[in-house]
Amino acid sequence: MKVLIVAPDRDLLDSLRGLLILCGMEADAAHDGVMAIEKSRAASFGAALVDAKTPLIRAGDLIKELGASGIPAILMTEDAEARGEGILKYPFAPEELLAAIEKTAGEKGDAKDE
Amino acid sequence: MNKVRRKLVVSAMAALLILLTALLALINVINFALVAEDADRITETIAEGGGEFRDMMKNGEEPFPGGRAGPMGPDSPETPFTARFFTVRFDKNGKAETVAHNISAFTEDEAKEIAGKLVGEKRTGWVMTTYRFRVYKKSGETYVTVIDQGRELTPSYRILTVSVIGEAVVLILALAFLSAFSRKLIRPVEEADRKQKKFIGEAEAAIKVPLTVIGADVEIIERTSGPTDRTASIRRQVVRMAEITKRLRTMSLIEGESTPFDLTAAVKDAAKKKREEFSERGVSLDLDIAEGVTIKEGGEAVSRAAEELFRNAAKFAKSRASATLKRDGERVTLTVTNDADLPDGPVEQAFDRFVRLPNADGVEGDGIGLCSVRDAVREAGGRVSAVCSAGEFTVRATF
Repeated sequence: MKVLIVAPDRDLLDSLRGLLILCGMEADAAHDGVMAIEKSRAASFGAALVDAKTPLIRAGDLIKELGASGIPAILMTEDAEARGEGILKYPFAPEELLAAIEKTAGEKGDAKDE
Repeated sequence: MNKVRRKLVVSAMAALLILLTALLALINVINFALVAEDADRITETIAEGGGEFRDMMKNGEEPFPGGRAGPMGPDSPETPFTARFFTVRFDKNGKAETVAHNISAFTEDEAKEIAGKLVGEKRTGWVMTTYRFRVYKKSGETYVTVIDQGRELTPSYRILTVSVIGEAVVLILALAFLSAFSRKLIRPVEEADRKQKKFIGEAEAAIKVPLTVIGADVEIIERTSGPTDRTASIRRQVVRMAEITKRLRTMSLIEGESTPFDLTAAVKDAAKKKREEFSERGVSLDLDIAEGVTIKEGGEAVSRAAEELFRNAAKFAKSRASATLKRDGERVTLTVTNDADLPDGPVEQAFDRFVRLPNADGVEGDGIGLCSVRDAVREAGGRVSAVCSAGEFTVRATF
C-alpha cells in the first residue's frame, strides 16, 4: 500500500516516511496542500496522513479533497480536545500510527467491496 | 462576573466589613463606657455626700476639690443642679428612707421600690436602660443612688445609629466601586495568568511533534539495527515526556472549567485507560464506582487528575490497588488505594512539587504527578489528602 504523508515539518515527514517503508509500505511526502493534491493525482494511494497545520490548503479541505479522490485520510493534530474517527493526536506511538493506517485503509477496502 | 473578580470582591468586602465593624464597635463601646464612667463619678460624689450633693460652697470649699471645674462633664459646678437622681437609705432592718429625691420621673414610693430591687446588686450598673445606680454602705446602712443618664445617652445612641447607617452606606458604596472597577484592577493579574497558561499550552503543543519524530526514529533504528539499551532508554524518555505534556495541559486548563462534570464517567474512563498499566505489572485493580456522580466543576483538569491517580497506583502498587467513588449527600469522595511499603501516617508531602516518597526509589518519575492532582482538585473546589495505614497508601479527593 502507498501512503501519502502531508506535513510542513520536514523531520516529521522524513521519520514517518522512513518508518512506513520499513514496515513494508510505500510512502510519499508532501510539505503543503498543493503538493499533496498534485501527488494524489499523479499516483494511487491507499491512505493519507495529513497534519492539521498543513499550509496552503486547510487540513479539513484537503482531507475532503483527498476523500473525493478515493484516498481516506487521517488527521494528525496537536489538539488534545479533538474527537472522532480518523484522528491521531500527537505524540502518537509508531504502533498507533500503523494501527490507524490499517484501520483506515481497511475501511476504504470495505467501502469499495460494498 | 468571573471567579477571580468574584473572589476579589468578596474578600475585599469581607475585610472591609470586619474592619469597619470592629472600629465602629470599639468607638461605640468606648463612648458608652465613658458615659457610664461619668455617671459613676457623679454617684461617687453623691455617695461621699451621704446620698446627696453637699453644699460645698457653705464652708468655703472648692466645689469639686481636686477636680476640673469647667462647663462640661461630671466635675462641672452645674452638676448638682442638672443631675436628676434619687437616693434611698436602708437601715439594718431593711426599712427604706428617702435621702434625696431630685427627679420627676418617679415618686418617692416608686423610688423606694426601685431601690429595693437594687439593694442586693453589685456596686454600680445600669437599670431601666438609661439609669445608672450605685449601691454603697455608710455606718452599717445601705444606700442606693439612681441617676438619670437619658440626656447623656442620647448623643451616644445617635452615634451608634449613625455608625450603623454609615457602615451600611460605606459597604454599599464599596461594593458598587469594586463591582465597577474590579475588572480593571485584576486585568494585569488575569493578563499575566493568561499569558502563563498560553505559554504552558504552547510549550505543551510544541513538544508533541518532536516527540512523535523521536518515537518514529527510534522505531526505525530498532528495526534496522536491532533494539539496544540506548533505544530502550530513548523510548522511556519519550513516554515520560508525553506524560509531562499531559500534565502541562492539565495545569494550563485549571481555572477555566465551570460546568457540571460527570465524575463517574471520568473515573471509569481513567481506569479503562490505565488498566493495561496495572496488567503489565500484575497488579489487581478493584473498582467500586457509584453511578451518576457529578460535581459542580471539573472538566479535563479533573479527568487528567483521575488518570494520574490511577497511573500513580499502577506504578507504585506491590500487588493490588482499588478505587472507589461515592456520594454522601453533598459530599463526593474519590479514593484510590494501593499497597505500599511506607510508614503509617499522613503523607501530605506527596503533593509537593518534585517530592518523591521513599518507595519511589528505582521507579521512574518526576514528582509532579500528585502535585497536579492537588491543583486540579482544589480548582474544582475540592480537597485532597494522602495517608499510609497498615501497608496501604490512600489518596482521597473530596468534592
